[in-house]
Amino acid sequence: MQNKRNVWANRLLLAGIVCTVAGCGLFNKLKETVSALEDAKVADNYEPSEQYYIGRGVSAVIVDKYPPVEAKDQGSERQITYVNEMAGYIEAASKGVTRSARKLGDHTKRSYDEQEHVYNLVLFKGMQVGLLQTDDVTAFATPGGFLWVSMGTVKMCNNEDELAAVIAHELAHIILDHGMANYRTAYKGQIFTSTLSETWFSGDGLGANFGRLVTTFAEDAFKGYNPEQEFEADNWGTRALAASGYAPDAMVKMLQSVEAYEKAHEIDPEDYLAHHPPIGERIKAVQDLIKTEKLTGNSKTMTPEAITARNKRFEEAFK
Amino acid sequence: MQVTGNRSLYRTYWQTGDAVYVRVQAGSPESVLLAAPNPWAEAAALFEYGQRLTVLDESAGDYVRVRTWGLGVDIEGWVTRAALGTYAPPLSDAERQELEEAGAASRSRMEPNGEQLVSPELDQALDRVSEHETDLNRLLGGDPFNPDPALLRARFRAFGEQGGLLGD
Repeated sequence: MQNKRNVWANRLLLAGIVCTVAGCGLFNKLKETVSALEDAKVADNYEPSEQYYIGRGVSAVIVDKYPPVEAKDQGSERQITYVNEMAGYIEAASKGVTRSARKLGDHTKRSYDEQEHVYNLVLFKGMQVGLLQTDDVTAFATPGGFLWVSMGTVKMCNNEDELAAVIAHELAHIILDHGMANYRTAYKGQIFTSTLSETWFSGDGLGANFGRLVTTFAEDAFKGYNPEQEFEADNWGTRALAASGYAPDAMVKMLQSVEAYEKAHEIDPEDYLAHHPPIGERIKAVQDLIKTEKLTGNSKTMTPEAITARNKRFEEAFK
Repeated sequence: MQVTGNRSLYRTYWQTGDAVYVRVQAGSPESVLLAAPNPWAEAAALFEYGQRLTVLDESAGDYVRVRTWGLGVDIEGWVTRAALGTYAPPLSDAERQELEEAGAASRSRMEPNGEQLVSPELDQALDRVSEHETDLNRLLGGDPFNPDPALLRARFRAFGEQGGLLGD
């Protein structure tokens, strides 16, 4: 009887709290909070360490298709070091870009919780950039910080700033969590019972779902990200170029080079370029961003001496 | 191994005195205690994965001021906010080994019918990815298996300086 009384007392107390909250106009806020917490379960279901292992598996699928340039190949140590120093530099110099840009274009909307998740994304082992031995113009970014750029893409670039634009665009896919966002959208609802974390913590072993995860991400990697994410990556990448001291309009020039490549080559419908938004729209969106945000570049980093130093080391590494 | 509570509901903003834990790998560029809240600050100490820190000040945007201790000495400095979590990441050597072995699951390829088949090609490709990682650790971090995060950060900064990118 005493227990029953306690239960009813608790129910009344709870009802009182709910009514008070509702009366204060906070009930909807409470509902929103609960909803956000539910979303958070999905949003934060992968630790940085888990994202790293997913990215590693996806990288294996990429390397299986396109052999990587290896450090033991003649002259390649310098190339590999160069692109990794560049990516590490841009990543560090762009730390404030995500928070300072209130909105990354008109194409992607995030809930408060998703935005917090992006703010708190961290790479378990940092960036790892690899070069691929193919003349195709292609590049891949996976969760966990793996970034793969083809030698065809490097050759397409006319100078260091344009290569930095490629790296900044791909880095944006990682920093803005595009791969995991797609996975969460596709598997929302199922993710609680099928994630690497759940499998890990349930003690059932990790292998059961890992292959499926990697396969899903690899398919996304080859198809490319969705058009909204491509626009967003151009936007973040252009801001990152500015924050890093590079010429922001290098993004425009790089995209114009892609446009020329597309005109000169028949693009395979399965190729990732076929899934990107029309290149003309991307160029215009970046030009508009540069104009509206006044991203003119830093006069101290755009001196003839600085530009010459950058282009000299680019030439030394790749020509 | 079972987890109690919801590990997903992490907080990303803390109060002075809160305990937080490092959630990046030792050797990652973020696994350092910085002398100032900026990306080019000197590394005052190196962190281990799961290291416990105490929050002192969290008002500096992407950086949190923390205190850590080692060898009987308190050290204070700054760390990237995203590198911290509110629970101790459960990644002991044994658990890390388990995760490494799980990575081998990606050595299989999913067939259209959903079946996972072991692929020798993917098996070889995963080895090449591992080789790539040890090459990067050696070339940039000075050691194939234990890269020095302070050295990595110094190289990134030097890249910016040599390219005239830092401006000031």
